[in-house]
Order: sequence, then structure tokens, then C-alpha cells
Amino acid sequence: MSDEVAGLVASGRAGIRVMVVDDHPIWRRAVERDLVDAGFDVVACVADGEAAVRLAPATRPDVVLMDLQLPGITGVEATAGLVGADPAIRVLMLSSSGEDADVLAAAKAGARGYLVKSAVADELIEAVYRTAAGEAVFSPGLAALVLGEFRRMASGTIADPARLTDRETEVLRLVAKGLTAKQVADRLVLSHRTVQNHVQNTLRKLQLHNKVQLTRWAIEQGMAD
Amino acid sequence: MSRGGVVVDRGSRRAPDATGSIGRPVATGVLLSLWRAAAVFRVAALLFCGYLIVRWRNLYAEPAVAFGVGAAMLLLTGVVVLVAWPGRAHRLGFVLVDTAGCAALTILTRVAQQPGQFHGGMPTLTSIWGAGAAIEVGLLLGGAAGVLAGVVQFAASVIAREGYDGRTLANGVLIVIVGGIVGYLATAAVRAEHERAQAAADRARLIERDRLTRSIHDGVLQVLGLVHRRGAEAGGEWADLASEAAVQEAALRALITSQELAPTPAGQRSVAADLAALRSERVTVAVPDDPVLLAWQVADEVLAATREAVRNVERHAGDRARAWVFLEDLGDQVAVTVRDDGSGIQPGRLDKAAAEGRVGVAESIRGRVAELGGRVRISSTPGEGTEIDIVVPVDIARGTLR
Repeated sequence: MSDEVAGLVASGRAGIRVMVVDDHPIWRRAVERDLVDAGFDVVACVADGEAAVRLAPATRPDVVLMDLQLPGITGVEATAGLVGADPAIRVLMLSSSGEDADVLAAAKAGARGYLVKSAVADELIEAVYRTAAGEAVFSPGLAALVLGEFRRMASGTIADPARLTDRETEVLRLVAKGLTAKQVADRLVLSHRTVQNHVQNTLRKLQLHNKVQLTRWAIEQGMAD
Repeated sequence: MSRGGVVVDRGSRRAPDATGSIGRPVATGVLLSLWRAAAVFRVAALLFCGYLIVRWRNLYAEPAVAFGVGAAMLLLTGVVVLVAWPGRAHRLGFVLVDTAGCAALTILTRVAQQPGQFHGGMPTLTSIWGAGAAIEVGLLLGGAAGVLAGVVQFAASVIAREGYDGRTLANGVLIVIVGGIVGYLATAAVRAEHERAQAAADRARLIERDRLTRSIHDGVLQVLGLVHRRGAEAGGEWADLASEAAVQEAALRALITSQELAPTPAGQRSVAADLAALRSERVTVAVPDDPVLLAWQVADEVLAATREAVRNVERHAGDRARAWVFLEDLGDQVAVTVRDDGSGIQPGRLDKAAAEGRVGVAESIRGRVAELGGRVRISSTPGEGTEIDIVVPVDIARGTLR
């Protein structure tokens, strides 16, 4: 672990409860070991989404590390189930690049961040820590997906689509080009906190819009008042 | 309807095979069903004509000729049924003989019947049975040929009756229409069947790909990913192994995601899938989930320009430089950015290269994009990397793009 990350996590990692959801045993063990070594409190390691949703109320994780490709219910459904039961749960998606549709669906379902599966231990630990601290962990891939989704909403037939502000679009574009949050802050002459807020807002708008759409759909189907 | 296989021997709709009995064209699938239906029609029509011949046997001028024609119709119908049922009647020679036979038997009506009869509206001996040949020609050669065969049959009845009246004409037109419609429907049915078979094959391929992808994803990719991760942490020789594992992981992933099967409008393809294939250990590719459709040639050029930019990073930006490719659909424009965190370009280097007559990578990219009516912006800070922004207009009206 690099000193920077060690310092970062040492300041606040104690007591951060983490659940690991991954169907691959080698991965699960490796990730669990990394997290325990880094001082996180790994409260559960499960192999499928049903177990994650079932165990979440009892184990009360702060962060759920969710592989999106799962047997049984998908990572997207599990994310929706976890966040639906407890909106405070922060789901950090973990998936291989190339599973774009799933990543986008999980982001809409309430996931707080995304990390590619090939990320090294330091990146993983930092991402879990940041997620626990309430930051949105964005990869360039997720930024491009979110931008694309807002573009689709704006050009499509959806009534009153959610829109990004110019600043939010600008921030996401830089993230999609691979700039770190700090580099984005430097380039736009903003504080790191402000950049974080913009990024988080884009996800929040996406999720809120998704909820509105679902509600509207439910009303149209006569399932709600 | 089709009890045969779904595979259609497309060659069987052409002229007969010159090799004779070996490789003789055989109708299959929907075409075989149609041939059998045609055979059933011949039998039913024969029963009707036979009934008339027997019933009016005492009225004919030459009852023997009438019975002879009936016997010939019986023989021909038997041959048609025996040959058509296993699908072997789908040959030019066969339908030509049948057409000639039908016409000849129709003409013999003139010998069998009294002039008053063939002038006075008694049906020809072959009447509706004669439509069988037009149906068969339609099955083999399509609607136009079916119409032509109907005309031949009509001409035969005109000869038999020494001219035509309203009823002859109406019957003739009906036979012509039947030949044409059957031919058209046969062609359409065969095409539909072929498309259905194609769709089934696509679906099977998709399922197989999913299965492979799942098994590769759950097994090999996970292990490669783990080797990559653990090896990089261990350092030294293991780091080399890790980096090799990462290259293989990216290649395998590109392989299983590149088999794009989603239907796209004709002449277009999604450049997103192509760009995603550029992913490697050092290259991150960020694309939207929706396909970014471009005309094939435009997609080729955009892809080539992006490849050049990425290759340029690998060559010139330093060993440790990483690259990010970002594709964005802006509605009326498509933008591709290639950014790296490498050594950057020294000020004036590009101008100098151009002045010396060397066409650098930048000029090559600019050239490609200019051809598409787009523009390229290159910004670089020494020590902080380079960013190449490619913007291509998307003009639906001109039809050159999208």
C-alpha cells in the first residue's frame, strides 16, 4: 500500500463496515484480505445477490462492494434491493470493463460509484474509503455512460428529462477523459469538494429521474395511487 | 405447414443440375410443402375432369379420344404426384414436359368434342387440371414465368376452341393469375423461410456467445485479472507476468465483446464497439451505452484517426504513459478525445515537422478528419501530456454521414 493511501485510510477507516458480494471465491478472498489488511471491518462476504439483500439488515454494512455479474439475481437487482431497503447503504460497483449496460443500470438503481475489477489493491481501498466518506467514485467509463444517458434523455421522447448543468457536463467530460478529481479541480479552478459535489449531483439526478420514471410507469399501469 | 427441414436449397430455384441424378435439385422446407399442395391440386382436378368425361361420354364426337385424354391425364398426374411428393419435380425439364403435356391434351379437346361443343361452352377436357402446369412453373421459376405458363395454357384452349369467347377468356385470365400468384408466393415464402432460418442461426450464435462469454468471464478472466493485480503488487519478475496477464485479459475481453450482433441500420455501424476494442492495460476507453451510429466509411476514418492517435501515445509519450479514449455523441457532432499523461509535445515541434515536409501523425489525423468535414484540436503541455480532440459533423440530410 502506498504511503498516501495508508495515510488516507488510517485517518478514518476504523469502523467502516464493508460487505463483499462476488461469486468468484478467489476474488472474494483476495478482496476480503486486502480490506481486512487495510483495517476495514468486513462484516460479510457473500456469493450472490439474494444473500447480500438478506444479510444487509443484520450486518448493517456502510459500503457494499458489488460485483455486477452474479448468479441468480443480478448485481443491478441486488443494488436496487439494498438501496431500496436502506437508502443510506453505499454500493460501490465492481465490474469488468465492457459491461457498460449493467454499470449504467446499477448507477440508476442507486449505486454510488464504480471501479473496474482490474483495479489494484490501493485503488480498491481508496475507492471503498471514499465511498464510505460519501464521495462518488467515478471511472472515465462511468462518466461517459452518464453523459450518454443524459444525452439520450434530452434527445428522446421522455417527458421532462433530467438535465445536467453546463458545469456538471464539463466536469463529467474531464473525468471521462481520464482526469482525476484533483486534476479536474485544477483545470477548472475549483475546489476538490466542489468537483465532488458536481459529480455526485449527476448521479443523484440520474437516480432521481429513474425514480420519477418508475413512479410514473407504476401510475400508468395502475399500480399506485 | 413445413414438415421438412427449414434449410432451403437455394440452388434448387435455378436451372436443373447438369450432373444428373447425383446432386439433383430437391425441394425442401416450405417449397416441398408447396409442391405437395400442387400435387394434391392435380389429383383433385383430375377427379373433377374424369367425372365430366365419364358423365358426358355419350355426347362426344370421339369418345375414345376423350377417354384417351383422360387416361393420359391420369398417367401424367400419377407421375407428378410420384415425383413431386419427395420434392424431385423441382426441375426445368420436368415442368416443361408437364406444360407441353397439359397444352397438348387441351388441344386434343378439339378432336374429341363436337364443333358445337367446343364452340358452345362445354369445358375443355383438361379444364382446371390444365392450371397445374402453370402452378408448377410458378413454383420453380417465380411469378413472371408462372404468368407465361398460364398464357401457354390459355393459348392451347384458344386453339382447341378455334378462337375465344368471354368464358374462355375468363378461364384463361384465371389460370394466368393463378400461375403468377403461386409463383410470387413461392418466392416470398422461400425468402421468408430463409430469413427465419437466418434469424434462428443468429439467435443460436448469440446464445452460444453468451455461454462462452459467461464461462470465460467466470473463469479465465477472473484468474487473469487476479494475476494482473497480485503480480503488479509483488513487483519484479511478477510485475512482468502481471502486465502480460493484463494484455491477455484485455485482448480476451475485446474478443468476446467485439462480436457485435445487434442489428444496425443498413450502411451504418456503431463506432463505440470498435473503439472499445482499443482497450488495453494502458488504454482506457470510455463510450456511451447507446450505439453511436456512423456510416461505414466515416466510422472507418474516425477509427483510423483514433488508432493513429493511440499508437502515437504508445510510441512517443513515454513508457509509462497511459491513454484515455473518450467518445461522445453530441447529437449533430461526434467527438473523440485521445488524452495521455505522457511527456507532451515540445512547442513548435509539429510546425517544424510540417515545415520539413514530414507528414507527422498530427497531420495525418488532421487530413483524415478534414476529409469528413471535421476538425482536430491538439493541445499539449510538456511534461503533462497531450490531448487530441476530434470532432466530426453528423449530417443526416447529406446522407454522407450516419
